[in-house]
Amino acid sequence: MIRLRGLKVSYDTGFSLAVDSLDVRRGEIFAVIGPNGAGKTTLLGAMALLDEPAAGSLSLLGRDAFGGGDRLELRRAMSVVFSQPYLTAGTVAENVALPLRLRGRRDPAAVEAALALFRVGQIGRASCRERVLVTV
Amino acid sequence: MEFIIEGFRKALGLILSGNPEIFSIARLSLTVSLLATAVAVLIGVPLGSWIAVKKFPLKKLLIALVNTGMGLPPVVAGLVVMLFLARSGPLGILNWLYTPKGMILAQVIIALPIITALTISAMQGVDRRFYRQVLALGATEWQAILVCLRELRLTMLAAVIAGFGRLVAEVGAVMIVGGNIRHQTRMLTTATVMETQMGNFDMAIAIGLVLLALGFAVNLALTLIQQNRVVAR
Repeated sequence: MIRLRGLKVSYDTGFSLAVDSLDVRRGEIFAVIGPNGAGKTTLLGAMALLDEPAAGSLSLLGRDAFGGGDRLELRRAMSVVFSQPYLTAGTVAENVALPLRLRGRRDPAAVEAALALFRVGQIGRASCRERVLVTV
Repeated sequence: MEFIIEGFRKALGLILSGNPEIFSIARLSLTVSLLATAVAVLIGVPLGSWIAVKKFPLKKLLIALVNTGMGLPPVVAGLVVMLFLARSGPLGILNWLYTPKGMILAQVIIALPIITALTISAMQGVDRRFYRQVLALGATEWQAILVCLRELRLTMLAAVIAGFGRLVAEVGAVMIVGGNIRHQTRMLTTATVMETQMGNFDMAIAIGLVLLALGFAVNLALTLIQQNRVVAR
């Protein structure tokens, strides 16, 4: 599903990362572990098509991700959440709906379904208008 | 001292009696400055966002130029626009010299660097990781910019207030490009200059008061919108 070969990323700051090969199969849970500054976020940034790598090839869902073409469609086939979560100033429901809205889906049913994934439904619709949701 | 008090008394009389000339001048002033602000926002906000987000050579130089533009003297903007709009100028075919359209063009040029520069600094103040997070959730670059601008709406309203404030108070550009023609291009500021020079202090004070009131009314409206959002937070 994800096949990465000969990745090289370098930043203006002089930091660079090289990964020879990485494969993730469908259904597999894959963890990259490393100390601060090892390049985990850099790797993720390149694989999420947010950064332009200096070299390498990446195949996502069987398609050549670095070879030009429509990156947006591939980017929208995945979502990345970084270790530090960033929320907009909107409500919980608005934050949950944001990725759907970005993909042009505004129907309440889709938002409802997304909220259900987080079991927010049990807390009730009113809470979704709150700004912060505290779960125990 | 006497003539100042007398001036204010007569000025209030002119305003309260609903002097039609003052009000038609006020209407033109408001229309020109609001339209110019709107055009400057429509161009400056996307432009500033793009400059802030993108990496390109000489970016710092461009930002320095835009920042310098914030202090562009209106008379210089007016002079340049006048030369362009003059019959033999490059845009002479438009026939915009001494018309409200020409004044709007001049004011757009004055407000554009202000709106653009304030947008750049606001957008650069957004945490880069927030912008990346929005991209990672599937946004195009313009969608990510829109999400950031939504977060920045208070700051962006302040930019609009700054731009409009500059334009409604500006006299140099509209004087040169508009020509202060009665019933056509006479603005509150140019009328104030003219009446003062003619010694009609009561009329000058009246127009000045209307100008202050107008600026206050628009800024009050914008500030109320801004502060309501603060309370809602």
